[in-house]
Amino acid sequence: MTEIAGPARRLRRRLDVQAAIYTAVFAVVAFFVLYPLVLLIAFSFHGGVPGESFQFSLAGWHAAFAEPDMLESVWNTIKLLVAIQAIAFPISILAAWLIARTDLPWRDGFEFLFWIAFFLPTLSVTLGWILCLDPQYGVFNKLALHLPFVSEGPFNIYSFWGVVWAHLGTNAIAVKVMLLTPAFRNMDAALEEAARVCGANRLKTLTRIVVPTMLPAILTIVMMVMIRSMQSLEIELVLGPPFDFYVYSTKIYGLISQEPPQFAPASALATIGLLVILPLVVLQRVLISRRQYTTLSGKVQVQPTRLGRMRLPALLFVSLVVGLLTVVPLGFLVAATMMKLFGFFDIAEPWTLGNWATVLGDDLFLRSLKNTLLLSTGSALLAVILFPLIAYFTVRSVFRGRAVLDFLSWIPFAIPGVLLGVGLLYVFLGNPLFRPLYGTLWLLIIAIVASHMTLGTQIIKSNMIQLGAELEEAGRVAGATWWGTYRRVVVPILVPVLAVVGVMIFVTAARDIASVALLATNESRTLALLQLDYMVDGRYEYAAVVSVVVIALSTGVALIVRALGLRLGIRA
Amino acid sequence: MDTIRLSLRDVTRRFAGNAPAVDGVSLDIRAGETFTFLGPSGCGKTTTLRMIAGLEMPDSGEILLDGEPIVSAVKGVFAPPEKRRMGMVFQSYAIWPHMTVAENVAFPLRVRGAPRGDIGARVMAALGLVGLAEYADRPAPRLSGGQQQRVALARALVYEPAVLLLDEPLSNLDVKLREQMRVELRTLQQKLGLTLVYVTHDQVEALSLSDTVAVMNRGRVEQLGAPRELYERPATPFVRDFLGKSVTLKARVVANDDADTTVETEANVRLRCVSSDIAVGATVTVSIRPESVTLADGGARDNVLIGTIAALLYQGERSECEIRVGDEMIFTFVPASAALVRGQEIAVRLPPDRLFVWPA
Repeated sequence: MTEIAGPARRLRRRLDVQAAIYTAVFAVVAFFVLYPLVLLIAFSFHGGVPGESFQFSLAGWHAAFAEPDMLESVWNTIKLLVAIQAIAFPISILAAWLIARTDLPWRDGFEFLFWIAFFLPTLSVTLGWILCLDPQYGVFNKLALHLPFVSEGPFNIYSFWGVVWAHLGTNAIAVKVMLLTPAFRNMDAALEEAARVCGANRLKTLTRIVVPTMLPAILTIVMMVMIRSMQSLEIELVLGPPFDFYVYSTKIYGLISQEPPQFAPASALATIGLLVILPLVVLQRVLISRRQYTTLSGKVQVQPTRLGRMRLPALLFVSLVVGLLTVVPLGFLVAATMMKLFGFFDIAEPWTLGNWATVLGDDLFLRSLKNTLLLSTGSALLAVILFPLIAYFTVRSVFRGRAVLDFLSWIPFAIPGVLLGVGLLYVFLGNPLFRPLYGTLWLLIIAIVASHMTLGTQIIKSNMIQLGAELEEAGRVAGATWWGTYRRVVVPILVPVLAVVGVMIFVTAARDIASVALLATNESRTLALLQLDYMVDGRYEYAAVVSVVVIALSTGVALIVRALGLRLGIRA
Repeated sequence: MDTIRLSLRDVTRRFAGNAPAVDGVSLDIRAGETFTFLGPSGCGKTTTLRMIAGLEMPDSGEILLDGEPIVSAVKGVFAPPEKRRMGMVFQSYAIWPHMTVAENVAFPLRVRGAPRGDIGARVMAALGLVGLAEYADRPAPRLSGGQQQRVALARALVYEPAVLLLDEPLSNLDVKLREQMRVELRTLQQKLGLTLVYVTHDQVEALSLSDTVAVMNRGRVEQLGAPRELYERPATPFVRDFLGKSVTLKARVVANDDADTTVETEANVRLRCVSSDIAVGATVTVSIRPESVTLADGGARDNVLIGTIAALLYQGERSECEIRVGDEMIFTFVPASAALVRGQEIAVRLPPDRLFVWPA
């Protein structure tokens, strides 16, 4: 008996280490995600301000429904979603197919440029397009005035189609091309070739075989953009107010940021949004899990489709799309940093380096830069520690509640950044225990890590599932404890994917607006928020300088990852 | 039977920076025959098939279908795959996952604009041929490997193509199913009089299915002929070894005439072999298929080797018998019931008409 009792006791102690860490991870995730979410909903029924004792009231809900443009803002969100995706999908599918499956010249280079486009900060690209399409001094309008019969600038970025254009120019196309290209690449080429031999020409093969085969992957992305459409904030925040255009997210932002803040109506609006999104998240998970058995086995043969006479038009098409996503907005952005007054080329000595000198010499800029670097590094570190533990416990452990943990890690995907921000605000303002942290970077780090928990954890999970359990079991059999195996086998194997996740979090933290906008104070302002302030004030030259710095920071890091040969993508 | 259906004329395909994948292949494929490209992976057999299908473009040479060029580098002709009247079964089957079985099979008819009324009947006929009529409405992903293979075959047959191309169609099936499909494929081909172009690396498949086999190696056709001819009279050591096991012995030519060539082994045994033009005195290798080696009964005196049994490997229906002769090892197959033991002396006969001389 004693011979058995000894090892059994040791086994229990090992399990206890694992259980302790599991409990800690569970608690952290619940604090990051569940607590803000519960407060968010609770505060919609709260009559006072955060910090006061709870008094039940439906005033918030009344106010939310009485809010004059409430319905219109929801309608605007839907209109934008449809208009943007109706344009973005055909373009993205065609571009991804051309890059992945045809003999398009320089296709690797194009893929790389779409990848760069994906990493460009939304706000910076938007600023680039404002500089081109502003009704008064936008460069394109000024050029158009030189044409005969044109008496006023034809373009106006401060319009519905201007907002659509800004979305297309920032993430709407780039992210789809980035996700679809690997999916197209993984498709068995024999499916296409079989159609050709059966008598279908190139076009019929694309429309009747390739696109339908890719439908599961495309549908997953459709669900994703529908869910994420409520998250978009910065484009509408900058372009919307001048023509009195509000969407769901800017409406909530407006309620919180006005004086005095309207917490209860904002919470009520947020709750309604969550009720709409959560079914979509569930549906998307079902779609993803069903996709696995529709993928047929088969050797992947990469035999590019010959474009023949369509090669040149295809090349022009992809070049145009990529050019509009990257070169055009960036070019004008850089030009703007060096102009005394952007758009006025005919004044004496229009060019100057004064903007750079002013901004870079400003304490505000230096503090924001320091904040951004601390925020990005801190978020990346926390993510790289927390996400693999979440992934491990949901994939490998047999603890009760791991399904709940899995579900918790999915929730941030459904919560728009602004809403999570509101929830965290309640946590840190409403609870005296946490109030001292308000105004520090910790709050922002939590917001960033929480809002990117889903994507980061999913990437690590899919890698863990592919690896299988045997490597780890071998570690245990060889005599290592659970923690020793995790530290010396699991984590080292995951280093490449952890690097990818870390960099991803670093870059998103550097450019993020939505999650941190409501949480930052003057002391904890980041570069992205500084840029937003400059833009709202109309000081585009300064905003452009900050933009270029943010781009250099995020794209530079992205380039390093690329050089390390790491890639992101979903499997078809 | 003797009309030429497909002709390849000096077809060459290079991939950037490598030796040619297919190097000057010329051959004719007759209507109604099963023609097989056989060779190890990377020998150019699949590339050749893909050039016939139009999925790959040759760098030079031409391919003619019923005398008309479908691709010709010189004349600048390239018929796209959909215009070639061919059917193809892919190694991965390439069953479209978003369609049912019937929709997969109907697709070639639909893109050809076949009358709607005809399509149903023809699809069912094709599915009937491969024994899948009752699976018509099943979603394609819910099929086993063997069933997917049959759907791919039905899809390729439904529009009665001039040539049916098969790229290693049986390689993803398990052994039992593979043998069954081999028989079915041969029966179907003969029943419908199909012209079949078949690619495989499995010599048993090639020998049992084909009317003509082209053995390929490094982009070239090493030998072309009927299966029996290739197996029994291989033209090169590569063909000999690729098609099956052989027993080889080192020897020296001592006499040579029209009737036969005589060699002397290192153990000073004289062996008569099939006549060759190798000079007297040359060092050579003689080879024979193990199943041609017979146990010598008391009467035979010529072409007999005496050795000792080094190992007996029981294989079920027969035993493999390893025999040490001097410093060399030869082997043959003996009935499992033969009363032999390890270490026993044994005499085997190498029939002169089965023994070939090769330059060493």
